[in-house]
Amino acid sequence: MLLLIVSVAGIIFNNVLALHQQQAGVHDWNKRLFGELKYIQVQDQTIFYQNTDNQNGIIEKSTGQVKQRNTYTMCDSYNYVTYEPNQQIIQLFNEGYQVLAEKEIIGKIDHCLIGLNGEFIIIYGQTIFSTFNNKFTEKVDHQIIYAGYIFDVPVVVLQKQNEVCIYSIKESISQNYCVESLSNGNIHEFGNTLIYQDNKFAYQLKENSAKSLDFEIIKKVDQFVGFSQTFVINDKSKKQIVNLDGQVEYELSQDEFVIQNLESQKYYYILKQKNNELKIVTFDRDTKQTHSEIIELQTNSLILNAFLIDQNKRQFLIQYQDLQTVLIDNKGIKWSTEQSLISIDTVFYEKYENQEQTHKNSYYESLEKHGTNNPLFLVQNVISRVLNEIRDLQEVVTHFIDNVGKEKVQTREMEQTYGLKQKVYFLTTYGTLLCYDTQEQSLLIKLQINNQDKSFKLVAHHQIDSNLITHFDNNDAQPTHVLFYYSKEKQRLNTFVLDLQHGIIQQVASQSSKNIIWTLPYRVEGGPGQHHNIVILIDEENNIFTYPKHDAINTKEIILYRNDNGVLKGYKLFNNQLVDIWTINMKDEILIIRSSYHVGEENPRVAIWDDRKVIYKLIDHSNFAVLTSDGDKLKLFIINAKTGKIIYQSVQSEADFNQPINLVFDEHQVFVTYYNKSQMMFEIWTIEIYHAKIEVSFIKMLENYYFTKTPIITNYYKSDFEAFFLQQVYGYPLGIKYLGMSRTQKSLTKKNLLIITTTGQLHSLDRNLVSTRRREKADQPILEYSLQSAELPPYQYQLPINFLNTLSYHQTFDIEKFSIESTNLESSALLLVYGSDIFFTRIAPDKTYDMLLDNFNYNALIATTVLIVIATKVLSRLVKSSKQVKQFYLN
Amino acid sequence: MWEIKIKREKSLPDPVGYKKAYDDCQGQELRDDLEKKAMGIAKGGFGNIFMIMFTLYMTGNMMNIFTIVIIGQFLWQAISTIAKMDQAFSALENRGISLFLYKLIYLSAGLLQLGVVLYKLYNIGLLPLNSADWIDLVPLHHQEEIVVPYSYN
Repeated sequence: MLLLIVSVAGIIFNNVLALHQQQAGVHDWNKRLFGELKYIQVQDQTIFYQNTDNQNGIIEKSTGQVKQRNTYTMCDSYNYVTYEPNQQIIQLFNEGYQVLAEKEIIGKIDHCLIGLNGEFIIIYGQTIFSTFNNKFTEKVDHQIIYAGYIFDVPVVVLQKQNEVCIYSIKESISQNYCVESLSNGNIHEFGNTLIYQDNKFAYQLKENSAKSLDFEIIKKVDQFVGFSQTFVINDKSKKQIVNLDGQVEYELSQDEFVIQNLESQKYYYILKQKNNELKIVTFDRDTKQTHSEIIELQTNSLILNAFLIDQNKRQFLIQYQDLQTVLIDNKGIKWSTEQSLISIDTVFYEKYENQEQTHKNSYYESLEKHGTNNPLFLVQNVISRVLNEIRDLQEVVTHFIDNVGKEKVQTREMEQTYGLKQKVYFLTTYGTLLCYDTQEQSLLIKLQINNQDKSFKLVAHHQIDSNLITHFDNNDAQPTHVLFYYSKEKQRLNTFVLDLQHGIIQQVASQSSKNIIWTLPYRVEGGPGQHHNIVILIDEENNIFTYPKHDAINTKEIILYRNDNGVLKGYKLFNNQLVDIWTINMKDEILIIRSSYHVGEENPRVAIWDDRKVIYKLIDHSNFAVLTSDGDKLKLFIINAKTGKIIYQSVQSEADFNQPINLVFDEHQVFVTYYNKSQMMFEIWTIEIYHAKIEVSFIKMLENYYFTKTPIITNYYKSDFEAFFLQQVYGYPLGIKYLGMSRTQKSLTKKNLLIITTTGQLHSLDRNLVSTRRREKADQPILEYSLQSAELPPYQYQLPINFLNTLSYHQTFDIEKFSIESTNLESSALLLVYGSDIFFTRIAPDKTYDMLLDNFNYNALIATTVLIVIATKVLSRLVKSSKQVKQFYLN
Repeated sequence: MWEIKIKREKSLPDPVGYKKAYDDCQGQELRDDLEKKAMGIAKGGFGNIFMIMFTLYMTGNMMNIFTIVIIGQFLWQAISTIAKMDQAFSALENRGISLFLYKLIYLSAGLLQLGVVLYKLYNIGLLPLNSADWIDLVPLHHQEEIVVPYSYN
């Protein structure tokens, strides 16, 4: 028995291991990002960092890779504190060794300091907890605006009504002194002291007293420079390093950057990037001598931030405004990474143009034209399949013979042909456009859109025909990417065009407009077989723009809707004007709105079969789902945008609104995910819409769809129409942070639910498992005209989790969203998940039914076939010539 | 060299134990014999049916190479039984009995065999007699109007 158990366990382990070994790292890669750095601390080969999003982590100094992302708060280089939000406890560690037992707190840790005796001081909200002696916890009366050190003594700065007060934390918490202030001040580290500054007052805060500073100087301060107790001021195109008394120590030019995190007072390090050269100037404060060196560095961006890493090796970590981050030393560039990927606006893909495209396959053309299961074309399809297979085999044999003794057949070319290897473009909030190869992770293109101001934001990205754009000398009708950016500050809409072939971004238009509400790509028909695409933009004052300019846009009915501060409004675009068609006042707070229409999606199938009968999904892209909150009730409304009618509404209670909530509307299915407080589990709430009509006779099918062309009703205002709304709730044992749907080229492959779990894993869930058509009991008979499925497993509240469907394998990532791109193979799609980490993989929800496995050896197959043929021929000759056979025939 | 020439004449008496030629016999006995023989041929097809049914039952409803081969063989057998009807009765043609009824029985046996095989094909799902088999005739969803939500992406 034991042997059996061990064997089974061994087989399972081997299978899982084999899966991971085969798959992990084969089609997937990841990048971990640290983003815009705010603060760093260097220790041997590691760089502890905190970024502008208050994430902590460790960067490996030699490679620039994020080794670890901390969920804990660092107190210093060795000590840190963790906080478990679910259990509301803290744990204190010294280099991973737990030095203090748990302590219950409510709320997040804001600061951690180390006291004079090595004790931990944890600050959360207005509470200070210290591990000194018998530990103490004290709650202060006012908001703590800063926690840090003055001459190594831990202090907190409290904002009182008209003053700020400095409290030192030693054996107990004691008030040192208070100074007059407004209520919007900032505090900066300044050597061993602090500087307080608001719109009226400026002080240097020392241990027992504060020194008033010249407010006129402080007002102009650009940077506070570390231990040297000086600052960089920027006044009327003059940039200088000055001390507290206003004496100028060094004159700077506008594009020069002074290193802040100085370890000694002896030098200033000044960096300047110009004409692909980085100039490093070292200024000796005692001798007033300068020493400069130049490193070649290809960038036109300005320096955003720079840190001193190692004074002896003269190592600097530099971040440019496009968030390219480089580590340089006296030998040159050690590494360079693109950190703008931490904040992605949009992702799009481009297929490689491959010379060796596969021939047009008449079998697949027939399937596309007549459907995959059409019995009328069965024989024709079989014949064309056989003929095509023979032709394919011929080609393979020819290729094999041609390549005997040469290199192996290039799988890369094949992957490009089938779209399994593409170019992925990231457009970041930092205005960078980065293009990577989806397989090799190599940076192919980097372009920069100059951010004109801080309110400059991407409104939309669309593809249009390039031959319409007069600014480009481009006669081919390849689709061109158009980007629309809106500046709220300047109230201008800026249009950029991307020429990916030549690697150019060009601004082609700029016009004043209000905030853009809708953008939509629109196909303008220009006679038989002729059309071109334009983009329609509508602002909040209902002004309509098009790019490129076009007058007649009312050839097709266009319905628009929006949430106007809790009021849902529907419009119709008619004669270049927006006409109000309906208004719905929502009583509850609107959480999420999702449309069943997804741009670029192929026309979906309406009919599906189950146990030989045909049922009809009710797909109407003019439906949209609205999720609202009312107390702890989660309400779902499905509304038809053409009529403004609420066609369905339902409620779930006990929802926790502090946990992530998701809403997805795809074809006829709506999925809502939320945390159920009473079940203590995340739930997936499914709603499906079906036609009342069910077809069980094939004669009727022929009558309706072959001999006559019966249309499928999708319009809700038709009187003779009846719809069924089914709903079901499932418990999902893992946490759900984000929910999305897989997608393929023709939408023929099953669409799985893709879930980013709260633990940072990516899980693929079979869509059939969350179907509303699962019957209640296994032995329940299914009526002929019932929507309940005979093929799906019976209903079970808790969904089973197959860990082999964890697409991120054993790894966890800090990921928020994903983007899916279809390939030329119907079974497979490319999946890119992004957030603070980027994870890329290939998915095949129904397995790769239309491709051979990577390890399939064509050469071995051909060689074996040839050998068998030769062996058969030779053996048959031998047999014929044998004496015994001759004798047999004679007899 | 010896040469034997046999010259048959009607006038010669039959040898001992030799039955008279059928065309000489107008008796009921011969007719009965022929009808019995025709019935034997006609009913021959029914004998196979139980064997076919049993074999098909034993193959189960799973699609695999053995099922395909066995069903294919029986299907071919049923079709060829029907196709070879005239050939089966050729020896009894123009012998003074009507073969219509026997052919009808033969045909019904063949059709029954075919029916059994087709029923098996239906059970396996290889006959397009379900509405689900014609699902590709249903047109894809096509939306006439464009619907654009707010915060479009």
